[in-house]
Formats: sequence, structure tokens, C-alpha cells
Amino acid sequence: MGHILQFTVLGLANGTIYALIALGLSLVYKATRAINFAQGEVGTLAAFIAWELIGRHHQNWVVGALAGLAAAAVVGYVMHRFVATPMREASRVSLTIATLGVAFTLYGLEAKVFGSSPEVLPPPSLGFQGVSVAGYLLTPVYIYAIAAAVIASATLGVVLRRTRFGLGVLASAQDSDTARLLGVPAAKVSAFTWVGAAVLAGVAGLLAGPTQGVIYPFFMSGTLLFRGLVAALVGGFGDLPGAVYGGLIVGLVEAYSIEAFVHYPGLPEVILMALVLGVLLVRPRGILARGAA
Amino acid sequence: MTPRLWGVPLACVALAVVLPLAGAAGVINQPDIDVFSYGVLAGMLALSLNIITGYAGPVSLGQVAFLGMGAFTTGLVATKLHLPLTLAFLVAVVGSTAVGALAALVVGLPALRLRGIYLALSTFAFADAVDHYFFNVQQLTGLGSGITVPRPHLLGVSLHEASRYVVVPLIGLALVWMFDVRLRHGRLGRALVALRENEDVAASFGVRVAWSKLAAFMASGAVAGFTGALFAYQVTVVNHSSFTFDQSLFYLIIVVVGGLGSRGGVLVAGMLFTALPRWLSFLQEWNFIVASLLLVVTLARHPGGLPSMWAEARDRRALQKGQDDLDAVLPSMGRRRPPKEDERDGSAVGGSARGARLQVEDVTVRFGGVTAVDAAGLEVAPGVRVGLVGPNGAGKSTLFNVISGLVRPTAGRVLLDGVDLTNLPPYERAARGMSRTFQQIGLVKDASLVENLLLAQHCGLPGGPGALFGSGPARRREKEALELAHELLTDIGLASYAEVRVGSLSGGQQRLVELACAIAPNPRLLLLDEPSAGLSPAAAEHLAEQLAAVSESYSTSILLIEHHLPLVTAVCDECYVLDSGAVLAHGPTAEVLRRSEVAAAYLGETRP
Repeated sequence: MGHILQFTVLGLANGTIYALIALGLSLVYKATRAINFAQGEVGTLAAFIAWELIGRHHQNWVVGALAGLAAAAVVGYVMHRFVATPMREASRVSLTIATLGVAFTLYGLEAKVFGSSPEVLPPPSLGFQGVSVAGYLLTPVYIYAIAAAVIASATLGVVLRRTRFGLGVLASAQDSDTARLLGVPAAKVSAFTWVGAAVLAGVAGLLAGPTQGVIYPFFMSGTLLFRGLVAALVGGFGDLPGAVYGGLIVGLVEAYSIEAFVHYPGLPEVILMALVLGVLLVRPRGILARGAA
Repeated sequence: MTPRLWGVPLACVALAVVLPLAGAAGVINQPDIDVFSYGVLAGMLALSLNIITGYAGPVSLGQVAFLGMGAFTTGLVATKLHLPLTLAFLVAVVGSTAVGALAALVVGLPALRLRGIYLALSTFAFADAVDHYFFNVQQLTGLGSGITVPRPHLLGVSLHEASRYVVVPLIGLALVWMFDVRLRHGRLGRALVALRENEDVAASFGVRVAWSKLAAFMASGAVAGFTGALFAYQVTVVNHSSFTFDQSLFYLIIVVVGGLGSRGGVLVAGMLFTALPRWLSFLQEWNFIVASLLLVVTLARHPGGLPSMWAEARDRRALQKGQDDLDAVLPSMGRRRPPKEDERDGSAVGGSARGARLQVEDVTVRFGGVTAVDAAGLEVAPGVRVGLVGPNGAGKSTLFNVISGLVRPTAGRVLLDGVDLTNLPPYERAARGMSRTFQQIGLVKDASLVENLLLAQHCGLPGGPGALFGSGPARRREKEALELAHELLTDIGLASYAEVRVGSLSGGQQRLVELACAIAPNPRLLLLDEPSAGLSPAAAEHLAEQLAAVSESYSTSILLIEHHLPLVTAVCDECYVLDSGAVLAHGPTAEVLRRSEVAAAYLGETRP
């Protein structure tokens, strides 16, 4: 019993990181109806920038983290300005493929600048060893992850629901032409979306680096991006609260299937694939969505 | 068609003769030939991806996983079955192709329920699961040490040397190319291109949308699995590190840079991005960056890629050239005698060319709280031409969508010759002789005029493997369909634009093509949704003449939505007036249009 509780805690803790990735994916999906495949690689870039300062130049963790987030924000702005804006009229499939191009550009640049060998990004320190929950020691990085997921979703919720600008973002997501005619600044909404998503990716990267053990080019674009996508899908693409509980569900499914199939490494991926096919076939708008597609 | 089919295969055969000789004579180094073989295989994989993403539209992120499954199937056949090398080779090729097709079938299943972008997720999930689980099972893949696949002898000749084995990928490419040409320019390929652009239009032409997508997935998986078998013999040690997920993504980038849907561009891009970095090592670390920057720039500047720019330029030339011929003919669609019943087998169009009886009974459509159609009923007797008029927002187009199957009614029934069609999908209705046009022009803009006219005859053409591999009857029907397409193009005076893409034509010309498409399957019920919308008065008048000619020489039943009342008067025997979703009036056309409440509904006056 205690065993299961431990895996539950671990699953939920990892789930918060997936939730952060899924939040960014859902934000972009809400605004553009495209899937942002660069979401993982922007996180990798932030982790590498942070590593460069913290690991190589022995700067304070906070300095490195802020630099990483700033780099992510710049990439987000570039995606808004030089990819999403010129492709306003393009199909969402084209935009999705373009984000793949951005991911690979970053991948290639990271491999060139930082090399392909794995590096260790040190975890943020809280000055203590962590908190023991149900016999499982939650290291500080997980506490940061939980805090980040709570702060990020709360901030997004407040900005989108309570501010004039945020309502404009939601209006654009519904009908961008009408919103523009009503005076919603389309360029600012787009910039907010892409920079916001990129910063979320950066936060996820800074936290996933330590929990994954090592960072290397593309480390967030494989299994991690996949979990973020599954989380967004489970919660319903474009549904921000859904991204959060989707992340937690994926974390739990992963933790339990690791526990259940301890002798079959990689089998959790098959379980997640089954989850994706199941959700796509039965409840494509998310498992808690009202009404089927 | 002929040069497209034979050019590349002939080049492959020529190279298959030249390269082994050059290798034996020492003119070309073995390693260089090896690199070339890799390039050919990469080109084949790129072509397989092009079938899903280029023709049909869904993004596939798992192409390298299909390749890997094919390669490991070959590995298993080569090591576990203990067959003679040559037999093992043949079994491996067939088995890998089948495994690839089956895997793709599973991955494509969500296509039965979903459109477009979500399919990227199922292919991503598949690629991830295959990469981390199946490729890590010791018994299947030998893990780090991989599986050794000895190259076979064929016809007594050892293929051990690179300069001899290169023949195998070259022949493989020739086969894949011919398969691809047949696929794209056959019934299935036209359907795929149509549904990529507009699924509603495709379905109204009689395309089974979901099944066609699944077929595309299977064809693509089969080509990838086939390529995997040849790849296994190329590398001779199959290792899971060759099939990582990032490779799948990179192939997608290559295919977009080569031009989605452009066979030649995709092949060249696949070969170049694989072979060049192996020859020129300084390119290696720039490969990803160059390819992906090219991708982003291409998409941001010109979403169709280079090939679409060429296509546009070609269309412009053809349009200029055709301008001279255009005025020479006085086109009339009535000149063509529609085929008599016994001239065609008829099965495809529902048995008879006579008009069908359409009955719409108490149809109600609600979208949320809005009632678009309110218990509307109408009847079109066999061979009768009926008009449907009413102000904007009266529910005419919604009612049309209910009849053609694009919208399910909240209540009520639709019957064709007494058979209840209410729950049938659009393609079933097309197969029963229903044919429709759209207010926004229901054509595939990215396909040529001829392709659209062939697509319109989709239901009348045989499908399945027979069509794909060119069986005798299938070819004959295809040839007849092509003849009819050209006849109809001559009738509307656009014969010289046969190969031009529809999107390059003017609105009036597109309307004529749409009308030709609507009558091409020799329908029993013709549904025309505001054919004069967006036309100049002169073009509308021309269209009215064509329409009158069609209704004179065809015995089909017609239901016509139209605002342009002279057109209604010229064509229709009877007329229904729809207002706020309900039938306001019905009777002989002239009489109905004279009534005061009709005028009131149109002019918005208060009704008495």
C-alpha cells in the first residue's frame, strides 16, 4: 500500500512538469489551432543556457535560470514575429510543420554550440533536503515544479479571465477576425501567446533537466514532449485547466505502469500509446470534456 | 502520363547497369556507391511519407519507425527462419512490406474519427512506443549489437559488394516510383488530394473519406516497410540506433522542403539531405540547421514550396495560350448526348439515368439554440426541375446539406425513390446518383480540370488493388472516364485548360467546371446551390443558358437554390419558397414568384 502511495507521489510530482509543457502546448493550440512541436526544444535551450552559466561559469542558480528563461522568451518572440505572423493565412498543418523546423534549428544550434555529450544541470537548492511525503522524499526540484505549475496556471487563469487584454486573447482564440475588428490588438495577442508558451517551456526545461539527470540536445523533444502532448490531449487540446490535470494523469499512468512492468523497460511508452489511441478514438476532446466530438 | 511513369525507372535501370560495371572497373569507389545507395533508400522513405503527408494531408511523425519495423522483420527472417539466402531475401521483402502496412493501419485508425492534425499525435505515440519498447526487446533487435543480415545471391551473383548491391535499391526505387505514380494518378490518389483540401467536397463526390485515409496510411507503411527490408540488407547489421525518433521528424522536414505532394522534389530532397553530408563531412553538423531553416523560410514565404511556384507559372502560360482558343468555340453543354441506359453498365450511378424522386419530410435542424430549418418538407418528382428560393439565412443551404448528407437533421427524413437516406453518409448518397454543387464552388482547387472531372466520376470507377495495379477492366473504365472528362471540357469550352489547376481559373470558369463535374456521373438528382453566386451578370446569363441546355438534354431531377430569379424562371418547373427555415409557398414557378407574401419575405416587409 505504502508502495503505491510512493508511486502516486512520484507520478504527481513528474506530472507537474508534464503539466507545464502541456500548458504551453494548449496555449498555442488555443490561439492558432496548431501544435507547437518546438515546445520541447525551447525548454532544452533554456536548460542549456542555464547550464552554461551555472555549471560552467559557476554563477548563482537564479542568474542562470533567469538567463535561460530570457533566451526562451526571445525564441518565443522570434517564432511570433518570423513564423506565426507571416503564416497567419497558412493552414494549421503548415504552421505545425514550421514549428518542427524551429525545433530542429534549435537542435542543430545546440549540438553545434554546446556539443552532443550529456551535461548535468544542477537542481535549484532550497537549503534543505526536501520533504518526505508518504515515505517518498520529494527533492527541492519537485517542490519548485509544483510551485511553478500552480503559479503558472494561476497567472494564466487570472490574466486570461480577469484582464481586458486576456479576454482579448480568448476572443481571438474564438474568432480572430471578429476580435481584430473589435479592436483586439492581434499582434500583441500573438506575441503574448508565443512568448508565454516559450517561457512555460523554459520553466519546464529548467526543472526537467535536474529530474531527468542529464541534459543533451533534443532531450526534451522526445519522451518529455510526448508526455506533454498526451497530457494536453487527455485534458482536451486548448483547455488550460485540462492541461494541468492531464499532466497529473499522465504522470500517474506513467508511474503506475513503471511499477507494474518493472522488468519491461519502455513498456510504459506502449501504455501511453494505448492511452493516446483510446482518447483519440473515444473522447478526442479530452476525457472530461462535455459531449463527444 | 507516360514520361511521368517511365522516366525515373528507366534512369534507375540504366544506373543499375552502369554502377556495377563502373565499380568493378574501379572508376567509382565502393564507399561512394554505398553512400549513393543510402541516398536512394532515403529517397524511397521520403516518397512513402509523401503518400500520407503530401497527398492525403495528415502529418506522419513515425515514418522511420515503419522503416525500422520493416528492417527488423527482415532481420528476424534472415536469422530465425534458416532459409536459403535468396529465398530469405524474397520472404523478408514481402514480410517487411506487410508488417509496415499493418503497423500503419493501426496508427491510422484514429483517422476513422478525426480530421487532420490529431493524427500527428497517434503517429508520434507510435514512434515513441516503437523506439523505446519494441526496438529495445533483445530477442527482436539484438539491442546494442544489432542483427546481422547477410546479403543474398540473386540469380547466382553475389550481392556482397556495394557496387553490386546498389542494383537492389535502384530496382526498389523504380518499383516504388511506378507504384506512387499509379497511386497518385488513380482513383485513390485523386480522392486523397481532394480530401486533403476539403473533406466535404470529397465526400460529396463519393469519396469514403476515412477509408481513403486509412488506405493512404497502409500504402505509405507498405512502402516504408519495403524500404526497411532493402535498408537491412544495405547496412547488413540492423541496429535500433538507426531508427530514432528525431530521424522521423527530419524526414518530415525533408519532404516539406522537397515540396509536399511533389514526387520528384521529395525524391531529390530525400537523396540530397542523406547523401551529401556523408560525402561532404563539413555539412554534417549543418545538415539539420540548413534543412530546418529552409523549411521555416519556405513555409513562411511560400507555403506550397518550390513546386507550387512552378505549377503556378505553368498555369499562367497555359492560360495565356488557351485564351486564343477560348473564343473560337461557342460552347454548349447541351450538345453532348447523355449516354443511353444500355451504353453504360449503370451500376455505378444507381442503375438508371432517369430522374429520381426526392422526398424531404418534416426536416428540422437546430444548431444549439438556433433553429435553421423548421419542419420543412418538399418533393422533387422524377425529371422535374424544382427551384428553392428565399432570403439570406432562410435555411436553404442547410436544407441542402441535410439532403446531401453533410448535416444530420435533428428530426425528419430524406428519401430517394422511397428509400430512407437520412442516416447514410454523403458518399453513399453520391453512389445512389445524387450530385451537388456548392455555393463556394465545390472543386479541388489544387487539382487540374481533368482530375476534377475524373474525381466527379469516382463512384463509377472500380477501386481496390485492381485499380492500383492497373487491371484490364479498371484501365478500360479509367480510359472511358478520361474521354468523358475531355468531352465535357470541350462542351464548356475549356478543353485547352485540361491540365491547368482549377484554382487558376476565373470564378465563372470554375462554375462551368463545377457544373460539368456535377453532370459527369450522369446523376439522377442534381442539387445546385446558388450556381450564379459571385458571377458577373454576363457570366450568370451564360450559366443560365448552359443550365437550361443541361436540363433540356438530361432527364435528371434538379433542385436549384438561386437568388437570381430570371435563372429560376428559365430553368424551374416548380418552386418552393423558404423563409425562417419553413416552407412559405409552393407551386408552379411563375405563379409562386408573383405572390405577395413571397415579395414580402424577400423585401422584408411586414407580412399581412
